Amino acid sequence: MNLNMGSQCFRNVDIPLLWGSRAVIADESNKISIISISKEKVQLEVLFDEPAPGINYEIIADGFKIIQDDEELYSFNPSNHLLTGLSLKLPECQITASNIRVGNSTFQGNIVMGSAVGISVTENGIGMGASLPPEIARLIQ
Amino acid sequence: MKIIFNSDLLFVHHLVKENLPKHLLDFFKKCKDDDHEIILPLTTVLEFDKKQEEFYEKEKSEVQNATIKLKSNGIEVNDFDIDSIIQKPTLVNILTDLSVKFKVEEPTFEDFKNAHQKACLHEIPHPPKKESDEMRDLVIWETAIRISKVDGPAILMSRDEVHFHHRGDSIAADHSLIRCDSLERAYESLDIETRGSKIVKEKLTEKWNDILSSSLPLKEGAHIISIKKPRFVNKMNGVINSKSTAQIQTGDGKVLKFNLEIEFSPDKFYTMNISKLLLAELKRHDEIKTLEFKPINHIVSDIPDPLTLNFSPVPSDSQEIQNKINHLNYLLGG
Repeated sequence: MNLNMGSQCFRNVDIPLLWGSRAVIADESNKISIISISKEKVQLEVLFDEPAPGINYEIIADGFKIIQDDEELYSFNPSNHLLTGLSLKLPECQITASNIRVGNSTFQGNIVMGSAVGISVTENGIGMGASLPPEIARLIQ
Repeated sequence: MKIIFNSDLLFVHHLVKENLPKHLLDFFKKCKDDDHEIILPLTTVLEFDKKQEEFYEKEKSEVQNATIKLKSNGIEVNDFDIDSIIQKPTLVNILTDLSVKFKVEEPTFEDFKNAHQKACLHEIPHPPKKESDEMRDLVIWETAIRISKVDGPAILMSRDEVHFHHRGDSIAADHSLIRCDSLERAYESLDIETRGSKIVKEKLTEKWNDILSSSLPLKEGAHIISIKKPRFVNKMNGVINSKSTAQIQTGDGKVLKFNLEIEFSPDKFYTMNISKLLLAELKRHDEIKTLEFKPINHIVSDIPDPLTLNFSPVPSDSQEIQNKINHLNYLLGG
């Protein structure tokens, strides 16, 4: 995949931003889509800033929460493109036209080429130019 | 109302520099406006502060490493006092700055004793499939029960299974302890309308005359009391499906409670399905929360359950949504 997102330039990457086990993609107008790559399936959860078809969600004051098996996973604010983990214990992630912010770290103007994952976010930290987590690699294979 | 927070609903996944996340800020502001008191079990304070300390040390280390790296590349970096740049936040300081009414609640010896017994003997609220009881969960449970017993109805904000399992329902009800696993459920318990419930209520109001003239036992003066736990699913045909629980005052001294499912789009209403109807008599001084509901067919025999109202034919799949999916596939393949 070749994609410019949040002022980062991702070239020949599989997943530009992996937030936990969720691939986050922005289009040319910075509308966000989120694909869950967990368990045995790949599922579209957010489609260009809106809940994807078939996904259970709750509308909240500044966006919506994605719900799975009655568990609130995370919330998304379409007006400022902010992802907030709820039962998912992940740092906040925000994609703007000029940067990608994860927790208190800001990424701006980086180029990532040839890696499976451009920016990887887990409960324990953040990385750039990472390989696919084994469970996701197995799923994609 | 006292609102007791377990740490899982106050969890912040990064160093708090300026403010808490907006959803927490909004909630605390609402509590301040409506004069609710936040109760912080000592466990919650300790856990929050410990996590913030971890983030703080990490932030300091990253700044120091960045400084070393810059200097090693000949880039001048002015001396600075890192402790004056990066502050270590504490939950008490954060809430103090917000001017929210709050109290740190230390567990009593009795709380510990009761929690210890429950942990050893796997007593209620121990969920049946949980292998072990954490003392910390049970200490918070005992603290919450004590507070609601002494001070009247209280809300326990927690997603933890020990606090939320239905085995604890009876004890919670006996002590007027309301358990909420999200801010939205807390808003509902505080009778504060959420955005989701407002949307459903507005949709019901659009078709109110049709609802009044249906076979539901509603009279002139009937009105919506509440819409709770509204959940939504968007469909491929652009229709939004919403499920929630509704309560309506019937206009003749009764309260009707039911599962509500509606399908609509921004400019059209398609179907309304009302099921599992329950009815309660509302006597003077009754609190809505304490009403005794019975299945409606025990009281009124000719009400269909479920009741379906159809307004417009449901459209076929939306090309707009398919186009969006196609565009995403294009991005993924690019």
